[in-house]
Parts: sequence; C-alpha cells; structure tokens
Amino acid sequence: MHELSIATALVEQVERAMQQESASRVTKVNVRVGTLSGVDKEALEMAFPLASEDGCCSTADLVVELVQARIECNACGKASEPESLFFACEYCGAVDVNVISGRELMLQSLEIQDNE
Amino acid sequence: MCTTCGCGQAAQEHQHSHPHDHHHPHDHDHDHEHDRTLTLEQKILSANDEMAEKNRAWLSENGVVAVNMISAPGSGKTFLLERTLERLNGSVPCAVITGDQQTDNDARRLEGKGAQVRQIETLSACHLDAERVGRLLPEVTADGAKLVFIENVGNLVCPSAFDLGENFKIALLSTTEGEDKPAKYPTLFSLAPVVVLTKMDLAEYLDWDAAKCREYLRGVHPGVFLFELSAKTGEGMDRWIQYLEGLVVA
Repeated sequence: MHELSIATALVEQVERAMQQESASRVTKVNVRVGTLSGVDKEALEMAFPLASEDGCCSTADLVVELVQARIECNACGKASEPESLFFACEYCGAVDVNVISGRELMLQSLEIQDNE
Repeated sequence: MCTTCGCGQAAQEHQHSHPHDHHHPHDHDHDHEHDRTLTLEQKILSANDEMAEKNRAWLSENGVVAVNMISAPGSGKTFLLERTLERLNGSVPCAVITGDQQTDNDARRLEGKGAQVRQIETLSACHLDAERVGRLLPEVTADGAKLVFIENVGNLVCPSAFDLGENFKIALLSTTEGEDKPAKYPTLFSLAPVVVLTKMDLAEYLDWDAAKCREYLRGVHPGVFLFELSAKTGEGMDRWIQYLEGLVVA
C-alpha cells in the first residue's frame, strides 16, 4: 500500500523536525495533498497511525488539506480548475496546458509543545 | 497566571519570600507545556527526492542515461526488455535494475544477454526508491553500460510518486489491459513522456480500439511520445530500438 510508505516517510520527517527543535510533543501534523499527487486522503489518514507506532506522532492528529488541480492555458493564458483529469482549458478548450497546482505532497507545519 | 507566557494556567507550587516570618514551600518550575506552530513547508518525500537528485547528478557526470519503466504487473516489461537487450547487444552497452516484491525470476530471465542485471526484492514495498537504485548504479554500470533500464515493481500507482533520479519515465500499457487505462490511472500516464503500447499482436483478438486508446492517452498527456509494438512478433520493434540507440551519445 502506497500511502503507508508515504506515511512512514512523513513520520520520519516529523521525528527529525522534533529532534532539531528539541520539542517534546507534537499534537497536530498539517499536510497539503494535491488531487494529482496520487495520494488518497482517506488512505493516508488511515496509514498515519500505523506508521506512527509508539513514536512521537502517535499522539498527533493528521490534518490533510486537499489542494485542487489548477491548470494554466498556453494558448489563452487563463487559469482554470479542471473537473476531470482530462486537462483542457475551461475558456478556450486548448489541451496545451501547464499544471500549476495539484501535485503537492507537503508537510506544511506542526503544532508542537516545548518542555519548559 | 503563568508569568513566562501569560497563559492563564497556574504555575504550581510557587516559592516566594513573603514579608512575614514563615515560608511557603513552592517552586518556580512549571510543568505544563506551551503550544506553538512550527512551519516546515517541506515536500513529504524530500528525503527520497534528495537521493534522486544525487542519482541524477551521478548519471549526468558519468554520461549514463537511465529510464524508469513503469506498468501494471503482466504488461510485458520483462519480455520487452529481453527482446530489447538481444537487439541492442553490441550497439549500446546496457544494464538493468529490476524490482519485484519477491524472487529473482526477472533477473534470471534477463541474464546472459550482454547486460549487467541486478534484482531488488522490495518485499513489503510496492515501488523502488531512490536510495536502493542509487546504491546499485555504480556497480551495474562498472563495465561501461551507458543505458540503464530500471524495471519498476509492477504497479501503476505507487512507483509514479517516487522519483528515482532517472532521466525520464516510460509507461507500458498492454492491449490486454483495455484502452481506457490511461483515463483510470492518469497520474502515471500524465508524468511519463514516453508510452509503449505492448502486445499489439493481440489487438485484433481483443477488439482493442487503438484510436480510442490514443485519444485517452493524449487526453491525459497531450504530446506524449507513443510506441506501438509486439516484442513477440517483432512488429514495431525497429523504431523502438532506433529510439533507444538515439538516447545514448556514441
């Protein structure tokens, strides 16, 4: 299962950040997932606790923000959000388009607690 | 109220000296925690991506071209590679890194055709990653291979998320899978600049609609470079071999 590999990479990344910050506890892991990233939101949410095991992420909630696909037309220059994965400009119908968002797979931020 | 952060939570057991003749036993340590947001904005697969960039740099320094071949299981990757190695034998020095969950069957099929072959057994993982491929690149090309075929684990979804540092991806699609695969699994087909349609010799028995398949492919990836061939009958193989020869500067 592909999302489990992604979740494992995510958990390792959070653990590295926690070590660098000398933080004691993470309560929230905020990620951005594009609709073209090939990662399913529900599957990632399910895999995250499995990947966390007894590590620092086991106390954290995963918050997934979905990023819609956006394309920019090379013919008319306008940007649109295609409904399907057949990319065509919403305004002029051209298929010569660039994907400007939707491929994201980002660890955005952490809510952490420091021991003082 | 806590005076360090003003958070309203009582710091427990304060110890102050008061202007009277006895002391109250409390200390100034507080054992509650402070929440804060740590902004990272890192790619989730950044560790893999960094390794992939190293592989890419290594390939470029050593004048080696690597292609990442991705398809569903059973679409004919290994068979196409067998025939390709036989045809390229002599003209282009090649090597193969092949990934499967288990067994070295593919490596054994590909051996003895003039190319160094290494098998990666991924076990629980459904894809190859940049680190495992990077470890094998120097040894697999040690005898001068200039073109490396990376045969990924048979899977249309997961391998497309993991950059191996290859020069580009080649997606394979067999006629037996139906013409609408690109529409059902657009992530890979939108990323791979080259698509090879395999088992073309079966098209007529399957009522497989070539025009429809091309339409689906161009729908998810306008400008995709297409090969239509049968490794079994040899149909379309000349163009494929010429193309591969052109990838490597003599």
